[in-house]
Amino acid sequence: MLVIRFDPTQYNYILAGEEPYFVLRFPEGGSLVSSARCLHRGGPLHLGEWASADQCLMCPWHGTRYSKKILAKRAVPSVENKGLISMILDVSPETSVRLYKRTGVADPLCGRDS
Amino acid sequence: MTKYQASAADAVLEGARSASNGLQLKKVFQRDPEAVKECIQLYADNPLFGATEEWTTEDDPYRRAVRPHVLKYIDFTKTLARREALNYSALAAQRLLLNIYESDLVFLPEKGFASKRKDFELFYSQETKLLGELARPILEDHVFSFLDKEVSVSGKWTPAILKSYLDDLVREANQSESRSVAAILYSPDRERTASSFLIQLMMDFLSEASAMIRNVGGRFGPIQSELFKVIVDEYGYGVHDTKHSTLFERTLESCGLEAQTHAYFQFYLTSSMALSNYFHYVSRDHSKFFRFLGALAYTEATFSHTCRQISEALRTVFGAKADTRYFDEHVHIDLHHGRMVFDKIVVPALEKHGDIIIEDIVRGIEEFRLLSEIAESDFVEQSDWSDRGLEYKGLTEPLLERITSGAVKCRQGTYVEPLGELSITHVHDADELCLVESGVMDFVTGHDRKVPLHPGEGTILLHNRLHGALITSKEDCVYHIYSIDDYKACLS
Repeated sequence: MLVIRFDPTQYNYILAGEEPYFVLRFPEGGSLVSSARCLHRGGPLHLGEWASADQCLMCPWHGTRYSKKILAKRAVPSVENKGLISMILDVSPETSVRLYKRTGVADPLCGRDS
Repeated sequence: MTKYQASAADAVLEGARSASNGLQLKKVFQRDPEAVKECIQLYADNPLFGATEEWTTEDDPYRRAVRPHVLKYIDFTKTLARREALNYSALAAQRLLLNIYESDLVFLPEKGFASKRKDFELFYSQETKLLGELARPILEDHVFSFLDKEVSVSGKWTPAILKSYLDDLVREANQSESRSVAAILYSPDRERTASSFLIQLMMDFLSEASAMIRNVGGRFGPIQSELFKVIVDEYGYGVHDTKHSTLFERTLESCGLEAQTHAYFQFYLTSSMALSNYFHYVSRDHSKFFRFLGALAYTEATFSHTCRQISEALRTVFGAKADTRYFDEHVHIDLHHGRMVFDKIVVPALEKHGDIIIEDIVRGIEEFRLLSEIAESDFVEQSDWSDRGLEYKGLTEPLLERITSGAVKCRQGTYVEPLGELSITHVHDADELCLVESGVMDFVTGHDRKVPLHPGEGTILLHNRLHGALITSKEDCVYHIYSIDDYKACLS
């Protein structure tokens, strides 16, 4: 297992080995960490569009829609407290981790991160 | 029946009979701010909770000053944000909650029961209990609901992930240094700072595991018996001299403190009460049982490391006279308790009840961690403020200059108080400047921590810092309070 702890205001995109993840923060509070690969064709889900009216995330490649409920169900186990997110991955603790602040990442809290 | 009991009972009965007279129960349940104020005021008007002329309480576990005259200005139906967790309404609510929770526990004085019997009866009276129970959920929401917002758990957790996460947290905690212990060791007044720290632990340690005991009743299978084993350890297997609270009494006495229940009630910091009350909060309401397990698993797994640091610090500060057996015992036994709680309680609970309970367990871990961090900061800041009393006193003149020159505009109030008038400890939500015009006041920032203020002298009351005052001059003391909001901004 690997525990990754980070400040979501500083980082919104995580590479653990070659696997990409991104952070979604919600205006009503709470956050989740999702795989950045779309289930459909592996599109860059983190660059999707958050449709606040429908409360869903749309993949930029083929428009596959993920409701908040589905995102929560598929989310990486994580907990946010004291301004930090801790995410836990079932991978070797030796796995390399890179944290990024990427622009254009979908963000229900403030629209698209820029 | 005392006058208080009669009026409280009348109000409750009247409220039960009529929606238009007396205490309006329906409106309390609906959390109408005025009805809630009335309910809490009735509870706090209990003579046990009123004014006192002493900083400490001598062997009367029922006397707990809550400054009832101020409560009418507080809307407890509003919930506090994290940044407000040390504000005055939080201090008031935590004091009230401590008293409410502890009316379920048995406290007896060391001696002289006959002279305290009325206090005993009043503390445990049905009127006090009933009013307290009406107020309790409102006060709990006021001070604890921010935890729901601050902690967010998501994703699909499994028992293995939970174990890895807890192991990681424990590893991190066990490599860190206690900021409270550092505050003691680096304080220019180490003995007083260490004493203040021990006082913060008293409300929990002298009735140790009392909140936990709320969770051993009922019927919930083998984990019930495992939880009981932890409690049996805490209670020294029925041998009083080895009961953990007995060991802590020896620690207090060896460091020159009284070991009587709530002798230093006025010097409990808001955050220290929050930590102790939290365990009652998640134990009094059994729907929070799994949160309780999470908090217990974390604290048992990390307490050993904390105790090692405290034990060393007490020996450094007080020398060989410090009886540190309480902390030394926990260095040893909590290594077992950490394992016992996770392997014998948490894991079997997960196997039996499924992953659905993990979110509550994680929440309990995180809520306790958050409250612990707030408590560390609170103690460190309070100690620093106390240590730098003269420094803050010295800022009076430049601040006053800014005010009198008109550079700083602020509200000002003037107060006159007689010899012996004791202002029960409290906090302010913003910085204030206190200036004595005539007479003498002892400005108090902790047990045995005071700065005398003579005419023309003053000090800065930092927001959220606990303080009180005692007039020591024969002549009345006239002093001014300037609401300066942020003293640094005023000086810049």
